[in-house]
Amino acid sequence: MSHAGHTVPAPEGFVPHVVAHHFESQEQEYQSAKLGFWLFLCTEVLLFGGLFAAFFYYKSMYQADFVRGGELLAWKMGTLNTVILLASSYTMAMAVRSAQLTKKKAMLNYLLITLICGAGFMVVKYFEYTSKIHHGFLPGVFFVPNAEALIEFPGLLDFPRLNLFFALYWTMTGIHGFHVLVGMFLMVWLYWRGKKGHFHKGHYMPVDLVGLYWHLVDLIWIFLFPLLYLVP
Amino acid sequence: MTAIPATPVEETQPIEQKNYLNVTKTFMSWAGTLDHKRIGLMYLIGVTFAFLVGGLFALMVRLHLWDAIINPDGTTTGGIFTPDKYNQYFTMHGVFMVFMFIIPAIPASLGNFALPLQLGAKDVALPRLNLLSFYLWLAGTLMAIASMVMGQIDTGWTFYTPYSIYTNKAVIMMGLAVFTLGFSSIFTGLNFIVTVHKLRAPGQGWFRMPLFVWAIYATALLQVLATPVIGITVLLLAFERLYHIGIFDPHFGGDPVLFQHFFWFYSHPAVYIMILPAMGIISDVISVHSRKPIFGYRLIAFSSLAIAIISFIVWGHHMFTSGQSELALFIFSFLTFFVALPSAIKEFNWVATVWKGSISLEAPMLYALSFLVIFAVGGLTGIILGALSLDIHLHDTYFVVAHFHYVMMGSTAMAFFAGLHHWWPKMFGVMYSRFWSNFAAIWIFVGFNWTFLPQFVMGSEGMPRRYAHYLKEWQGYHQASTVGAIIIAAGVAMMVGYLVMSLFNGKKASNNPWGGATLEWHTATPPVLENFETQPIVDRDPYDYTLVIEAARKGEL
Amino acid sequence: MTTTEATTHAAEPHDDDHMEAAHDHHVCSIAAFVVIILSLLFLTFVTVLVSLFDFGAANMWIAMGVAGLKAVLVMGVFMHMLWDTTINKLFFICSFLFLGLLFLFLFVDMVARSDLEIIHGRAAPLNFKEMSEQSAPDSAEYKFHSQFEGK
Repeated sequence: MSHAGHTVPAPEGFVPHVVAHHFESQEQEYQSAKLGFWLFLCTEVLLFGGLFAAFFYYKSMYQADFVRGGELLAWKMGTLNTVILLASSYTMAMAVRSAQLTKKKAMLNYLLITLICGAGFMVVKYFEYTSKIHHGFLPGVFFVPNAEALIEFPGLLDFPRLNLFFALYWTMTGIHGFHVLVGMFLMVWLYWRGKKGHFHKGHYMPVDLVGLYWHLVDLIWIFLFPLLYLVP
Repeated sequence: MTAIPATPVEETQPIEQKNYLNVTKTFMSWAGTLDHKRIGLMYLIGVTFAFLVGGLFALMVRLHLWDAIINPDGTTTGGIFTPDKYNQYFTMHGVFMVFMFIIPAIPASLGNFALPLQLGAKDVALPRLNLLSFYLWLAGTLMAIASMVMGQIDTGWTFYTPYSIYTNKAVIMMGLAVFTLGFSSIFTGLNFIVTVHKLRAPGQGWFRMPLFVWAIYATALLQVLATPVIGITVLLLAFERLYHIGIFDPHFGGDPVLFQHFFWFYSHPAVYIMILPAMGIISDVISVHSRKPIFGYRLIAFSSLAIAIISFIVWGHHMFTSGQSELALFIFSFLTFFVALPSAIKEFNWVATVWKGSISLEAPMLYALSFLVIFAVGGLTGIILGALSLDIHLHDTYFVVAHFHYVMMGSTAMAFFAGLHHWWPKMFGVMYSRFWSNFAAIWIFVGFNWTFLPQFVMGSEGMPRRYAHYLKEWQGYHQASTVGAIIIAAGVAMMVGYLVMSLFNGKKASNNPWGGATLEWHTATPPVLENFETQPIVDRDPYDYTLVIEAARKGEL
Repeated sequence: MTTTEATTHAAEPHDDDHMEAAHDHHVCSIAAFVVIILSLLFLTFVTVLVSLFDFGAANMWIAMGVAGLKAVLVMGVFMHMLWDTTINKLFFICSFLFLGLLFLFLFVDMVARSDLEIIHGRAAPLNFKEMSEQSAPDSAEYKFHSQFEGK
């Protein structure tokens, strides 16, 4: 058995992929990486799921406070972010498709747009967070609404558990935002490699896997948005 | 069936045969290795270190408890440490043993070494992830050591809130250590699941895999699904300490019982992460050393999966006195009884395997037989604790301490020793001293029971756990327990001694000293870098010894 | 178990096989993606619209239901789950099921907890002093609790 992996030939102008030596075939390598990545996504589901469980737990304990808290959030910005992420999911799926069809320019463009969408998400988030900080809506012990907030949102001090609501808001959106940043970094990495010609119909696995990651980030937001922002 | 002696045969091949140990010798070739066998060895050294550190803390605890009496008027006599230090030491004992030794030990060291070999694969599916797992383990261990230096923790390994929020110790650093160690565990499990699904040898269907692989697979499912929850829990605890977000702190409207729910949602499956690989080793070892096919292969395989699934719905039995609703208490207690069924199936099947087998009493078998006895006690006392009405009295007493040491140390650690001795010749190509290994196995069995049997009695009579001082009436039990701990320590020292000696002047081992039928015994000892000279093809059961017996009769073994 | 000599895999590139293998993976049509993204945007509109009305206890179920539908679309088409292997689908779905176990038992605990009744003012707080007085005024418990009286 050879120690070096065998090489998968690439179309003209692209870099051939070398299959890792412990795999019998490229298909085995592809399916192994895919299964591995889905398992990683399972761990993310459980990780965020814990936060959702905590949110549901306290929401049913302090219903009035959580309803009031939801009213304090900028649902319009949340909706905009939802649209941005959904669009970025579309462009990411198109990027994977382009890689599958060896359409390098299209793939790079879609990756770029996905990256821009991610950045857009973070920009909206920035405005959202600064507004919260400005009002003094910080997590836990730092939840101290300032005078301006008390005028704008009357009766805040009647809800003693808003600190808990905002603790969960900051933690959940914060960790999600961190995942968006990681995704953006991965997008840059894909763009850099894609420009060098690493991805083509013979080898598009990394694009596929980053795509799965990005869609998971979108999935989490799909549940996060109505739960936090939209007050029933 | 005539007994076939498992004496090593002198190799006729040249001495410096290229195998995975000597094919490259630089430091970087080890530090940057992608070979699962080398990674398994590095893990072995690491978890042994963790075991010795945890054991040292245990000795300190037990020595302190020799005469740490509290008098009726409230004054204390004896003991070595202040109560604060005592809390730190039993916490460190727990943390090191649970997170750095027991959870990774069998899967990451023995599993990494043996699983690809047993599957006929060249390596695990994701070798770079494997190396990352190891470095995450190392980083987590260094962080835990850092927290020891930075102020220690005294919360118990369970970090219950609100104490863990307000105690002025290095809880955050330890929390990050646990987070990192958690990801090490997740990635190891992920790797094994993919390997078992995608890298089996031709002809190896699911029901031709060794039971050790089934066990590791079930463990891996738990590692992937349960561990993230402890990850988020320690992260939230860190935020709680830093920003008082209020999730677990009643001062801010939070609920300490929620912390316990989150903690035990992982930590109960975690104890099955500990015991399942151990059970896998026992299945393999018992079958090989009785030279008899395992009784009830499919039942044992499915029972591993059953244990994994049931383990997710019983975590509340660690919280019977926490203040949960009565409905939840009832449901958890009821469900806990079900988890005994698959474990009992295994126990009966192992005994049936040994029955009328051709038993060779080597060290692996002695540890496996110890396991059968000790696990029976540990498992049954677990059922006692699962009974709600009994647990109200036994919770937080030494009965619990004795129960989990019977399953964690007496069962898992013993199985780890069994596996270590079983695969030692394959890993290093040498045999250890037969006399000393057998002697140490019996010695440790005696020492173990000496230490923990009195604790059952103490606990049922009411002696609480985690107390730095106790009433005079308990002193006899405590002193017996301490003597036992010293006996165990001596036994472990013996084991380390003869194992290390074997590396220098042990007899060269043959490819198949025990007459095993699984794939790892049909390749060179130690294995070559790519495990097999030619791709093995599997065409019979993993516990079918007919060819092995034939080969032994012809003197080829 | 025998290990028979298998034909060793020489290092010849299996050109067409591997190109074919990669090619065999399903490539989604643009039309499918467009249909999905439009559906997702529509459902987002529905989510916001529905939140403007109060359906009482059903609010959460409706919101999560719509979110679940969006999730299924993303998972099925964008993440290619519809055309993926059974085992990948099984693992991902199972992770939600196991998460559901956490939700279920937390819910069971919460629904039946007596101290939550106290928090919400539906039950009187426990009066330990009274309880131990009733049981045994000379008991150690009473003496223990009364030392905290007034502190």
